[in-house]
Amino acid sequence: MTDGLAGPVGDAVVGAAGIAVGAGAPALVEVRDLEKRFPLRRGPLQRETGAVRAVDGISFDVREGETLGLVGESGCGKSTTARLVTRLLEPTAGTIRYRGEDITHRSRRELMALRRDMQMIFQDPYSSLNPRQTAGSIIGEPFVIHGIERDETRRRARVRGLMEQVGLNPEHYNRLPHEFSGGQRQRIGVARAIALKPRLVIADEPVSALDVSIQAQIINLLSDLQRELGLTILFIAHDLSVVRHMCDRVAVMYLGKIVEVASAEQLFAHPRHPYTGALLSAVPVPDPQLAKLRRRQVLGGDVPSPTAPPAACRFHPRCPKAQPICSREEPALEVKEGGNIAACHFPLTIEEVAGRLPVRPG
Amino acid sequence: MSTGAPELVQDVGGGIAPGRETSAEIAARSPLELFWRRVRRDRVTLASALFILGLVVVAVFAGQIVDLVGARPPNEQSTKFLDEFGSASGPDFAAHSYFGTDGLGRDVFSRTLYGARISLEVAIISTFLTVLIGVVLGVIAGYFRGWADTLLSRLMDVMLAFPVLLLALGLGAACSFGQGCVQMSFANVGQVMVVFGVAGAFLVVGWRLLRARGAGDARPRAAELAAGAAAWLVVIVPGLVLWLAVGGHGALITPGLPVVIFVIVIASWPYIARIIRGQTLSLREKEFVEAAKALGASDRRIMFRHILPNLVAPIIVYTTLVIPTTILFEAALSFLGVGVQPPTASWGAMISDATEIFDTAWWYMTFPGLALVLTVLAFNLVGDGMQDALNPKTRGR
Repeated sequence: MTDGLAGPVGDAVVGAAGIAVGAGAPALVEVRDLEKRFPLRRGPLQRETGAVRAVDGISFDVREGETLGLVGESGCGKSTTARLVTRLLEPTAGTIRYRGEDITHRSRRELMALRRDMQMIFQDPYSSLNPRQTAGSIIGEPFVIHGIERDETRRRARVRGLMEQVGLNPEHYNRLPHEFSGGQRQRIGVARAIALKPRLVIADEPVSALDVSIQAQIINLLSDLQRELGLTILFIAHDLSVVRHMCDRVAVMYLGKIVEVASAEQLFAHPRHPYTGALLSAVPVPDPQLAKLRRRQVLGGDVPSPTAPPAACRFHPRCPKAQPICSREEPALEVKEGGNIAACHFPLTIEEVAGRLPVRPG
Repeated sequence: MSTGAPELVQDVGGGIAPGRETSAEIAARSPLELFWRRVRRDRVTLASALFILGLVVVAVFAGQIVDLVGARPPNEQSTKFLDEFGSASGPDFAAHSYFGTDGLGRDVFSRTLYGARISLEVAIISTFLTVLIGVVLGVIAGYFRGWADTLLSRLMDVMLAFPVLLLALGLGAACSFGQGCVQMSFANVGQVMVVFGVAGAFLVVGWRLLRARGAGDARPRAAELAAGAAAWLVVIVPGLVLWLAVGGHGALITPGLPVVIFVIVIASWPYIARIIRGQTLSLREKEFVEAAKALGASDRRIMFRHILPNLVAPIIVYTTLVIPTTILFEAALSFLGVGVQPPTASWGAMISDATEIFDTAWWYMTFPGLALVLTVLAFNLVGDGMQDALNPKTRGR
């Protein structure tokens, strides 16, 4: 496979936050040491007895025009991250910069301009649309809120255009959400998100609630729109095949931390973090001969509670390669063999990767 | 009021707001159209609605109807219409005494008709106030949560623990002699309430600002502060009503309609507020509210455009449930003698009078009782029908 540290990531710089800040396209969003704790209160005085550390010091960049995938198990903090970046939640610590401007603690009013630039697509097409609003008024709402296209007829025309763009019949303008199928409803959600021509779309598991056959349609729609509108997408998912199809770079999260960042090819060809390896080895292999060769790495136990995460490396209680040092010293995100950036003292070797992801020779 | 029908803020009290369609629109029926189609097919609801409509007409034109059929005015006492023993006489169509007379020779027919006025007046005014206060405070408590919720929820608990009937009886007993309670006029009560409410609003906002300065994390939003202050409207608004509308001329507390309405509103708003608060709590966590926030929608917009329209069904259902209970409450208070005062006709007061001569004059209790039962039944049935017709998931047609 690949060779040594030099490789294609020669231009990667390890930034102040301990993460490689990629060169190439400029960063649209820079997230540094972002943290979100949800306090647990108990007793009559509501004293803080602890906290769920949903996101615990993560740093990453979203580069202009790319699709960055954010993957991980349920409860690892993916959706919290999305809501922090869109500032639907108030970060506990860390900074978020958008096009160089610090937006970490902006007030709702100051965020208004940003809202035009940054939009979100939600996971559940059933609860993300107001059941009492027609499709047309859902898609037209961004214009109303931001005072664009105040003229009624022109707004209707824009909304119809958007409906066509996302593959909906503009004649369904006056239909209510419950009159649409799941895929159509998600298209309404997409149309609403792109209505104001944003630069950044944050898609929070946009296809996980959909039928597999519909998933492909929505993903292709997103890809097409990305090309047409030059969108940058932060794509959150737990389906690795979807991520592979969709993303340029992928960040893997585990228990509120990013454990590995790499380009999609690098990550799927040679995962370095044992957790990534375990995730990838769980993806079904369609080739029965290869499937026989594969040594699946099954993780024992459950994800530990985010209220009391394990010390140092959070993965060490479940890691097949754990050594004493893993519970003493937290590994930093570093460039590993093959160009992946991973936080691990003992990254997977070529042989270990081969066992998890068998490749047909030749 | 522009695009589609559901964008309109729907009216709290009745029905769904009218929807408009551009002529070019194809197929899609507007929600109003659907609503009508469903109601038209529901005969029970339709009949009940017609009954209520008839009742309203009767109440409004009670005087004309009484004249038209030749019955006597409701408060006219006459020994001529008593039987030979000087007690109430039964229905006699020849004498235009359709429902008979009471013990004082007054015409039960016209009194029943005029009683509809009192019942509907109380029903409309107190239900409107109850629902208004309940919905506003319920949405505020559920949407902003936190301290506004704590404050309002405890207020609801206090109100629910209040022995309302006892309050009414106490007011009635203390104030039913002579000119009423001389110690304090409605205007004074109103002034005290307004002062109390305004002071409370200032205290809450001030306390919140002070506390926010201490703890660095939660900065209060202007809307949140406004909501906290608005919570005191529950005290300020009735206070103003008492002060300016009711007690403007230094009126004294005497049992009567204002007391009835006051007691009913005080007793009923926490029920509505609790239900609305619960619904709002669940609605605010829906992704479409998050989506609206991500679009930059204001709290006001989210509350009016996203939360309120989804509350229309429960609001209508509970409104139609509140109307009959207010009618019954008024009847109960009048029955106990602390409601509408004689000689004004009220169904409750008539039934109360009738208990004394029920063994000889069956008609005196039967007709106002029947009117009460039918009215309450009709409102309940319409409520049921509305619930079915307004549910967007009811099967089309």
